[in-house]
Amino acid sequence: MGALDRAAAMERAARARSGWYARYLWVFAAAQAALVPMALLWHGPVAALAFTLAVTTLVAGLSLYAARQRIVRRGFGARHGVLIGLWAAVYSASLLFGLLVFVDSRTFAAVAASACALPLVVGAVLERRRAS
Amino acid sequence: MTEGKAQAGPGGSHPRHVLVPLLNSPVRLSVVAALSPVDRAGFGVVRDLVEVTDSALSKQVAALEAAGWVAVSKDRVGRRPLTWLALTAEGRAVYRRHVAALRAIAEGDGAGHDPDAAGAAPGGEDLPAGGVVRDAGMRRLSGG
Repeated sequence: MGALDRAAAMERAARARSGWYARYLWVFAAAQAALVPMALLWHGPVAALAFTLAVTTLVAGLSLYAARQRIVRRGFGARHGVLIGLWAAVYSASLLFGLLVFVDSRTFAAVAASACALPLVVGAVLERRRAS
Repeated sequence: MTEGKAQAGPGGSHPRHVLVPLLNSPVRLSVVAALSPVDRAGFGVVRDLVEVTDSALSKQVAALEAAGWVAVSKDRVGRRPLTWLALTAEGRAVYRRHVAALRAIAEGDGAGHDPDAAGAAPGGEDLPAGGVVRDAGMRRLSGG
């Protein structure tokens, strides 16, 4: 294998190994389908406890998964910051409207869950492309 | 792969003057290539990607670190030590130039006649005066 081919193969292999972040984002996005409706539609102390446990499990699980990774793509910090920032903004808006305006609306809860998942899904798709 | 045009080196305009001797080693080139698309990678990850032993990788990384192209940092996960490798800005620039030079050589983009190639064509044939000889040489080497 020539030097150029070897270098290109190494770069591709390293990019593929750093594709864990796409899986992280897919799991985070999928969790919105449960967490957002839970936050908007389920009320009471039991709901609060269940929601807290669910969020804690999600955050702890994802954090542990990320901490075990031994390869970090260039610019990961900035990209992660932007994605989490976008998700937080949409999530906050969803809670605001869902708890004050569209109270107990299942339709709104479904739309909000999709909206919260959207930046994470887009991020996951872009990461998958970058890793290949 | 990384893009960039080969620049003229101090010895002339042929792209081979830009090649970095330290990266002529396949293992060192592979290490730098593996680190180029990432912020940092664990020692074990690079070892697995390049398919060398721990001691072989340590030796090559030490050479790259001495040149200022790779930064080595140590961390700890619980009781387990963890070594991270990362390309420095200089290492990244050197790698890009080296790859651009290799690509320029492979594509026959070197400017002008390389005086060092006089009389060195495969088969010992005479070289055309003032002509670019790489194309014939490269075709012969590549069998195409």
